Amino acid sequence: MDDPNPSDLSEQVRQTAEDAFREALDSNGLSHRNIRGVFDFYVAPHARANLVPEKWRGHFQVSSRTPLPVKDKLARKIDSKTDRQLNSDESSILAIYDRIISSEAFKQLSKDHDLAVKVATLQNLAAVVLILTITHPFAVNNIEPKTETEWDLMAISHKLPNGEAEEILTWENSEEKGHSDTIRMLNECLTGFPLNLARLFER
Amino acid sequence: MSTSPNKEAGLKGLKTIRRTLEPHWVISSIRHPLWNNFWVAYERNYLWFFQFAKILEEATRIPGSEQVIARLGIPEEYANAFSELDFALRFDLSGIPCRFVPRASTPTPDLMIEHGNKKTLIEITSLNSSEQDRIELETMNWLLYQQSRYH
Repeated sequence: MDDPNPSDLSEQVRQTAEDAFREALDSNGLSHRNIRGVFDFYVAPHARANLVPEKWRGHFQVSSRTPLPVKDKLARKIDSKTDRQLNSDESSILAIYDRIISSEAFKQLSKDHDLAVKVATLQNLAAVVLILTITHPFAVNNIEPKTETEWDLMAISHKLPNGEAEEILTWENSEEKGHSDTIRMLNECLTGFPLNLARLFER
Repeated sequence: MSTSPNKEAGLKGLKTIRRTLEPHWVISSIRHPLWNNFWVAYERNYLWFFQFAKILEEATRIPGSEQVIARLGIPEEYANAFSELDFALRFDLSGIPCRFVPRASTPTPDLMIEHGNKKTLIEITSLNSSEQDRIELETMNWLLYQQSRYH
C-alpha cells in the first residue's frame, strides 16, 4: 500500500488539532486526540494545565528519523529513478543536483567505490552525475579548478562566469557496456560549461 | 558618469526576465527563490539580470522548454525546473541537439539528447529536502503557532 500523501496527512493533523483545541476551550477541560502511528495530542486551557498527563505537560516533540548518509541517499535516488523514469533499454544519464552536501561528504563520496558498483549493475545507465552548486563567495574563491579521473569516477571542480562554482562527480558505467561515446560527450559538455557559459554572456 | 557599468544591459535583461516569467508567476505562501534579486537596484543585480536573461533566452530555444520555463514561476518548483534548464544548457551550448520530454501521466525522463545516431535519455533530480520534509516542518510550525494563540 502506498504511504499516505503528506499533504493529506498534514491536513488531517491540523483538523484533528483544531477539534481538540475547540473541545478543550468549550469544555474547559482536557482534550485528547490520536492519529494512529502519527500524532498524539493533549491540550487543556492554561488554567487547567494540571489535567494534562504530567510527562506530556508543556512537552512538544517530533520523532525524527536518523538522517541517511549521502551515499545511501544517492543509492536510493538511483534506484527510484532507474525503476521509473529511466527504466527503458535506451542509454540514459541521471543528473542529481545538490546545494547542501558538505565538502567533506563530497570528498568521501569520491573515495567510495560502492556507488560505482551500483552504477555498474544498471546496464542502460551510462553515468550518474552529482553536481554540487557553490554560491558563497568565500567557498567559490577556495575552489581549485581540476579534472581528475580514477576508476570509473571523474571529479571536476571549476568556477563559473556568473560568480558561482561547482564540484561534479560522475560515476561512469564501464566501457564494455557500450556507453563510451555518451560518456565522452557528457564529459566534454560538463568540462566545457564554464567557457560555453562565458561565450553565451559575451554574445 | 554611471557607477554601474551593467545598468543598461541589466535593465534590458530585467525586461526579458519579466516578459518570460511574469505570465507564469505564482504568489504562494513560500517566498520565491528569486525574490531577493528583484528589490535592490545595484551593480551586482544588474549583472545578474543580464546573465539570467541570457540564460532564459537561450533556454527558450530548446524544444519543449515552455513547460519547464512555466515552472520557474512557481516558488516550490523553481529549484527543480532551473536544474533541468541548467543541465540542458550544458548540451545545448556544446552544440548537442536536445529537447525536453513532455510530462505525462506516467513518469518520463526530463530530457533527450541526440549525438551521432544515438539517443540518450536524461533524468534530472535533486538530493535537497523533499516536499515531505517541507510539509512536516510547516505542520509543526502551525501547531506551535496555534498553541501560542490559545495560551
